[in-house]
Amino acid sequence: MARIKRIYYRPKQRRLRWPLHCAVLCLTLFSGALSADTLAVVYPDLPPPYKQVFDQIIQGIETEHNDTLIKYPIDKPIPPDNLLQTMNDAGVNRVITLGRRGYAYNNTLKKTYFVVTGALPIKPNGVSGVSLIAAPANLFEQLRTLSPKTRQVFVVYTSKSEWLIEKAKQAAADKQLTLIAKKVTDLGEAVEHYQDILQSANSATDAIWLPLDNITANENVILPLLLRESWDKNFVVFSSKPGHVRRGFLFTLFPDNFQDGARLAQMVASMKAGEKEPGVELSLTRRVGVNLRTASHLGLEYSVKMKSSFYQTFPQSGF
Amino acid sequence: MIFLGRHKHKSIWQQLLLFLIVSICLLSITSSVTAVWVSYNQSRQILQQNSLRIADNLAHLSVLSLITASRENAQEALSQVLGFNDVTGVAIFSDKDGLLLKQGNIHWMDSELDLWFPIATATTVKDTGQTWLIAAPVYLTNSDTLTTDNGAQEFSLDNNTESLLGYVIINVSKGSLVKLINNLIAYNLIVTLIVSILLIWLLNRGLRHLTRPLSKLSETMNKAQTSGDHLVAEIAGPREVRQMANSFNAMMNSLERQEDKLIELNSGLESEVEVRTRELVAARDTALVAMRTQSEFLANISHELRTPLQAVTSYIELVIEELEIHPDFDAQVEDLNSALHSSQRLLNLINAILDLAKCEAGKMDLIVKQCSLTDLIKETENTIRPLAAKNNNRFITDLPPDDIYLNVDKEKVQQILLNLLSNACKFTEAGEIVLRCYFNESKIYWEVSDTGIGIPKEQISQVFNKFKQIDGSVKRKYGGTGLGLAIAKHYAEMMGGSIEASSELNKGSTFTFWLTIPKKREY
Repeated sequence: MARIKRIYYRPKQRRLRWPLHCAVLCLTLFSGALSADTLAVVYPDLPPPYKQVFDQIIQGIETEHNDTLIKYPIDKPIPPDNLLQTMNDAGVNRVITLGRRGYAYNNTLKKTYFVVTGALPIKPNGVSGVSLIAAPANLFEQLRTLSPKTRQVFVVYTSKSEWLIEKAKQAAADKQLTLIAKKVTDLGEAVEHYQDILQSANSATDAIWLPLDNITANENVILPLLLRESWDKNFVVFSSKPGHVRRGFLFTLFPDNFQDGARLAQMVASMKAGEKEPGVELSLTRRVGVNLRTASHLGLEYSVKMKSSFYQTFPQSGF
Repeated sequence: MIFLGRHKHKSIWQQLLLFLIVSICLLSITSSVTAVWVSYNQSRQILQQNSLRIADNLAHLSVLSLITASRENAQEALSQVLGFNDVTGVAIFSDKDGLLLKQGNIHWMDSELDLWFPIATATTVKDTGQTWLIAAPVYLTNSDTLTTDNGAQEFSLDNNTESLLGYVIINVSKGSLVKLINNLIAYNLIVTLIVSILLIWLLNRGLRHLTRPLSKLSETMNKAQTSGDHLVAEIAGPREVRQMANSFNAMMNSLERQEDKLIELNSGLESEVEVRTRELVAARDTALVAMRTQSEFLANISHELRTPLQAVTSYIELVIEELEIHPDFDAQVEDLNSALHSSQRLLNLINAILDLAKCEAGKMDLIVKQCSLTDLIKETENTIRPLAAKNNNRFITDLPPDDIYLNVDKEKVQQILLNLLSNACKFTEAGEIVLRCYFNESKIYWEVSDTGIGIPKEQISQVFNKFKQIDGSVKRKYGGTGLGLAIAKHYAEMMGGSIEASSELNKGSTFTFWLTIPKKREY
């Protein structure tokens, strides 16, 4: 059985004046209804650079959670009941699960605790949490900034991304963009649509959005096709997957781990406070990564100030 | 070694060179063959591995064409692959719909497809002498090549899946491999040949230099053998050759010294031989003189002895004849008969002694003439019968039915028979004396047997000795000179035969006289 690592962490002590301390103490002592909020964070125990992601999320959590925070880094899978028991013994009353390994315990933990999930591209299916998928509104906002001439956005999606497209339509309208969404069922259909788009669309005013979809954004078929064709035909292509900007698409939005962590803590606190489950929220990150070479190829120029505001630019030095 | 045995007649330099040439050739061939084989195998492996990679690449490139079932997309992928030198044909198959597109030189049978597929990785499905057919599966995956490690997977809810879309087959020609092999063989042969020639030339010079002292030594030895001179070899060359030369020179010196000794010894021996020869000659001359003297003595004495005795005998016979007329002189006649008898005995003894001396001096000659066996026996019988009758003995002859002619000294044969028969008559009383004659292919036998007093076993070997009779008493009773058998044996041996005796005391004796003479029949 893997050993459960428990790392007890005390929040950073703010400099409270002694009266405030006393007030808090009194409130704590005389409050029958109040009890200590012990928040557990279950996340994968990974080496750098991935460890840094969870550290940032936890830092964000800590800004919103002042009480006891217990971290459960999962190295090897452990029986969910064991974890549950451990948490019970520790007096946990709310849980944030991060990543795939953390998400694996959701079904067990949510029977007992308030659970929210992060660090995954979750979609509404009975969970609550902050999805890694960036909000389309932020994407379109960046599109307007980086490619001002674009007026129309094409997107090919499957039923898995349908919930997102609805939000995207609204967001596009808010940004004075037209979203042309085409639903497909398989990869062949997706290829066909992309080829149609590339044939018929106007590269000057049209752009293509790749959602987080393993069919319509297939790494081995769609990406090479779009990369080649978009380059040849000077199409603006942007993606919801951060790794795609390195491969040549114009831009993407990187997760704001700290922000997401803070939001997760808020969400679980509100659930604990009795509010209804918030469901899945999209990431509100604005950390834009831009491929300057692609931008240059497309004739898009950015000022130094703008460039400095980018979270990451590509190609990076050494490429 | 058998190989070298056939070239025994060649010099050591030639044999060494031959041996080294063969060794170099073997080494060259072995190393060339090994190099070519190793190179071929490595090149083959590399080509095959490259081909597998090409097939894999084509499989990646074919994903789009299989998804879209588009020949145009497939065309682009195929064209890329056909750009490789060794790829002569390509084909793309969909798992559901079969052949999508084929290009170039590639063929297969439908039955083969059922055997080849499915496959999990790029595989060589057919290997002929000229080509390989390599197939690879085409999978559709969704794995991000940049985020395949476990860490990145933690941020995704999707599992990496792969589904089979179809297969690609490429036809890879082994032409470049064959060309490589041919070039390898050719270059190897050329280089080997050049290096071998150079090496042989170097070896030749080196060996000649090394073996020259040995050849010179061998020449010197040969010259020494043929000329017989004590030649000295030059001390030069490798250590072993110098040792051999030293040993040879030492041997030559030793031989020279021994030869000198021999010459000295020889000259000493020659002088001694000369002296001995002179002595021998003197002795021989003395013996010859003595023999001549003896012969002359014998000749003289025989005449001097016989003549008076014959005269005495004759005169006694004459007086007996005259006195026998007058009966008053009977007593005187009897005395004169005794004197006559003694004279005859003395004469016989002298004759016998002279005959024996002649035999022993080698002066007795054989007078070989043809004579009839029957006549010889008849004459002998006529002489012996009265002698046999004197002691009341029966005389029987047993002769061959047919007469034969013999080339013998008749007188001597008769003498021998008369000696044997007269002894038989003398030593037998009222008995039987048989003369048997028989012959075979090479010998003629006369057998004289009697039923007389016999000879003791211990004395039978001495009967042929001179003056030997059984004992003194016998001599005195029976008389005789004791020389008859000795003379008979000499005569027999002179004629190439012999006499043998066998006897049983008081029962009788048998004397067998044989000659090895060819018989001649004339009718």
